[in-house]
Amino acid sequence: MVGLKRHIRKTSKFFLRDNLILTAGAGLGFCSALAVTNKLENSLTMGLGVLFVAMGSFSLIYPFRRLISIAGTHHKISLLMIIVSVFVTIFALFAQAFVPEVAASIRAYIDLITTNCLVLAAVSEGLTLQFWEAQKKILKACMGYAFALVLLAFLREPLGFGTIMGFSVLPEAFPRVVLMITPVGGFFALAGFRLLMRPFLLKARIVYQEATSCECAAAETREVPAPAPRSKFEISRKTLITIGLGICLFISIIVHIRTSPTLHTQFLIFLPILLNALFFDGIVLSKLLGICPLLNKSRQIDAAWKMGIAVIIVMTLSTALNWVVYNKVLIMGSDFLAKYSSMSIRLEKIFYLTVFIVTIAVFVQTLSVMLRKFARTAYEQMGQFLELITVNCIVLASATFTIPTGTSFMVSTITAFGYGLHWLMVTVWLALLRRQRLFVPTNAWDEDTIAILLLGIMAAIFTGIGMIRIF
Amino acid sequence: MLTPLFLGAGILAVLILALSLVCEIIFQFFGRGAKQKLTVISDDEFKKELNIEGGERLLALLQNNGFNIPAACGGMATCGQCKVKLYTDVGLYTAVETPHFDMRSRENAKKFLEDGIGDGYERLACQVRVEKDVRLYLSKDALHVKKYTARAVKKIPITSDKMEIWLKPSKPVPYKPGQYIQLMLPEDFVEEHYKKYETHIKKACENLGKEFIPYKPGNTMYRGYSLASYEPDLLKLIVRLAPVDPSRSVDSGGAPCIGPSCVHHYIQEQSLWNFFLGEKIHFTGPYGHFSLKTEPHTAVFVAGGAGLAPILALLEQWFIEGRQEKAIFFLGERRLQDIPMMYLPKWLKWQMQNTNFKFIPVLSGAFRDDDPAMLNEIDKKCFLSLADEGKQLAKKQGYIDEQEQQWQGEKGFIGPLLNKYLTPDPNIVFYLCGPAPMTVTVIDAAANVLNLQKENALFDDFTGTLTPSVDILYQKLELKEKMFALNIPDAGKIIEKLTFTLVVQLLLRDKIEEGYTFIGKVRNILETSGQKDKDLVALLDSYKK
Repeated sequence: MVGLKRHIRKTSKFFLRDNLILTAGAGLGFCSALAVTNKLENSLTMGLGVLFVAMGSFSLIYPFRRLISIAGTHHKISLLMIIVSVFVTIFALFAQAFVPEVAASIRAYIDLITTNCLVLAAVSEGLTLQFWEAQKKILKACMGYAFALVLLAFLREPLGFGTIMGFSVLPEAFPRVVLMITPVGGFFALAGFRLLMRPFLLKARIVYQEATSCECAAAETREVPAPAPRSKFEISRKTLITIGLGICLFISIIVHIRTSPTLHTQFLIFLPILLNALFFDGIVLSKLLGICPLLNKSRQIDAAWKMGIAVIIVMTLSTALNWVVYNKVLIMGSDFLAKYSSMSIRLEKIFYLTVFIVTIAVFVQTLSVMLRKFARTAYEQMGQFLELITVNCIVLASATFTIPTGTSFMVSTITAFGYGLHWLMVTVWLALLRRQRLFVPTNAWDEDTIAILLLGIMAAIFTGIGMIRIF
Repeated sequence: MLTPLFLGAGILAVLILALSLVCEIIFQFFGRGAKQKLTVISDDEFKKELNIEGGERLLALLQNNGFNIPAACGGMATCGQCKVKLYTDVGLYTAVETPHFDMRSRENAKKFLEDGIGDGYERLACQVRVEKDVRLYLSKDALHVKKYTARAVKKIPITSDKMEIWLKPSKPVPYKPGQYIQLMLPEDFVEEHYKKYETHIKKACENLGKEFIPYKPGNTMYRGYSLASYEPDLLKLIVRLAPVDPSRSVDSGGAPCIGPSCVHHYIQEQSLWNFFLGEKIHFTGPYGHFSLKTEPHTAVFVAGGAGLAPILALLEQWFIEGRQEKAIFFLGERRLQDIPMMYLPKWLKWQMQNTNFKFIPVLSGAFRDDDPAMLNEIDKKCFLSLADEGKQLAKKQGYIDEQEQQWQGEKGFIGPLLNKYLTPDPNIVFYLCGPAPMTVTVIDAAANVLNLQKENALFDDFTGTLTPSVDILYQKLELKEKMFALNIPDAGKIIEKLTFTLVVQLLLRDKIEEGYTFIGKVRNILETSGQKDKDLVALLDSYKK
């Protein structure tokens, strides 16, 4: 009896304690949790995918851990990412074969398992452990993730479609909450889950209160030191004039753009693309990506700004680079192959993920090394943020969403720039909102929940704006 | 047929290699850092120095060197799990790190960085770049300590609150007698324990003036147990079910102390469903330098309570090696019932056969305020459980009277008895293991009466407070000599009071820092003050509360 009780206790904690989506103080893996949970079958596929990729790639990587440690940290991420992305590709092919409808609807998110926060972290942490111990840990993290996904789907699918796994469970007369199946509904469902489950989990001692409210309040009052007198940002007259002239020039170009017909057509194409990426089809608010770093870095306005700028730089440049690699190397390579054989192997259809992620990793690594060497001050300000976003879903997403569809160079780059700007905008707004200490959350956990709720509201507003036809 | 496949793979490989090459070239030209030294310190005297290349991130470095630092986000400063304690100043938190630290650690860090007070400060390992030699502390979970597994094969209750546990390790453990192992307490047992007794523990901590640390999931707890055995394939431990609050015993509803209680229950349950669950007891070790000195010396063994275990092993070794030097074994217990009757006949026999060995059980009667000389019912019952031979030996050697009504051995504390059995001799070595009060007072007495050298007092420091306590005691000894040299009136009395204040009020309450300041104040008075005796009395009065 005692044994059984102990088992139940252990199992429940196995799933719920340190569950990165539901209970952890600092959440991870939100992006896919929000995007795919509108149907139970999507959730299951996604959970299975993460499990397969993490455990499979770990099994393959583990024998080579000496090699990885010798290669040095600057190669570590690319080496790990190659194997992870291959496994993701294998899983995506499997999904297409067995559950084609599901695979079609969440294809983008299956690709992004590559940069799922769980996978790389679990794998690189596991390399320091014994094989089975590490597998157990990975299993725990992935099962917790899948469990959270399934829980969310159980809330969203019946409410939105009235079905579970395609079987209708609610009577026809029951009102359908369409909000629940839209991306925006994900935010509300997750926030609601976290808020409702918290007291229960606390009571069952599955999670522990981090700091009591009184301590926090006392800490706040003690905290507020006199703000350090900021060195005034001085602008010399010369710069001011240059900036003014620049602005005038810019405005005049826009106004007189009609005079040059080629530029004018370009402008007519690119402005809507930029606006679309920036507002209406934003990477955070409608594609639901890049949420974990967003939640975390928006705790401080300073960090939000710097991180946002780093994201813009890395996203724009790496997407441009990826476009070149994809179109000039992969596609040309495939064409070259096609000449020699009857069987057509399209490299770009299978291995685009691997190539993208390796390019990104190498690019970020190179950039940070160069910055550290040649622009020390800039590095000290921004360097750490640059490296934080190597394995970030938004950077990969901006490549996978734009490049394989066959867009031109400028369109991909501008879309990536728009996505980056969108991310910066949302992060800074969220940071400003969180600064207001809405509802006075008492710990990191509740604070994150509130932030998710705020994001949900923002997403709802942006969806509304998207309805307005401008062009 | 296969050619295009190979070609395709080749194109990919060339592409990826080219990218890696670019990365490598740039790293070789611009990214190389200077050679630095990374020192990792951990519990149980673990120390490792790594030669590394500067400029890397600490998390990556540590993970590359095989230390298991948890990081759910993979070094993006999102999860806040990769906290490490640094002893070197590598700068304050970066902007992304700050939210992961609560007020207390922020203040600690500030104190450490600005004033140099405190025992290191915490940072997220993924945000630290190693640009200079760094010293850091890692918890035991992060290291690859060799773990052994074992099953409990036998449990023998040896007194009302002590139990001998036999563990059968899956492979032989090479250890020296007197060493200890660290038993891993299963997390869920610890959690249950806290759930059950949290209020008790909190109260007890308040009473004792110690800081209450609430349970936090995630880190494994280890408890040290000395080995009472000699064989490598069978480990014997002595587990004592100690109450958290010494004034409330476990029988009368007090909360049991976390370590022994958990082990106790754990092993108890294990023996029931060990078979089908396959769960084993894990431990690390062996550790410690608590072993017999090889050169000839007069050995004094002092044991009390659960501290008997290593002494048993050492005694066993002493007689197996057939040492002929003088050896005295002091066993301090509360009452006769606390002396393990199982071992008594063996000790008595040793005493009979070896003229150089003396066994001196000392009953204190502490905490119960009763006279240990009059045997109560439980004592009698315990004594009756002895075999006849043992009884006869005990009576013949004068510990128990013929009517089995009285204890005729030593009573009180071990400290004052030392000069009855021993004379000052530079060749005496003390082996001590037992409750901290006993250890500290005995060392104090031995240093005073027998001129015991500091390096000849051997003990296992499980709590980390004994070593500094002994250091303070020896500083006090210096001061005492100084006081006599200065001819301070009433020096003897003052020293007595001083010792009392130091030992009872400070050291036994784990107030090591205050102990050092106290000694510092006394020394200051002795060196500078004009009216040394008055100032000393005033200082002592200020500590009387």
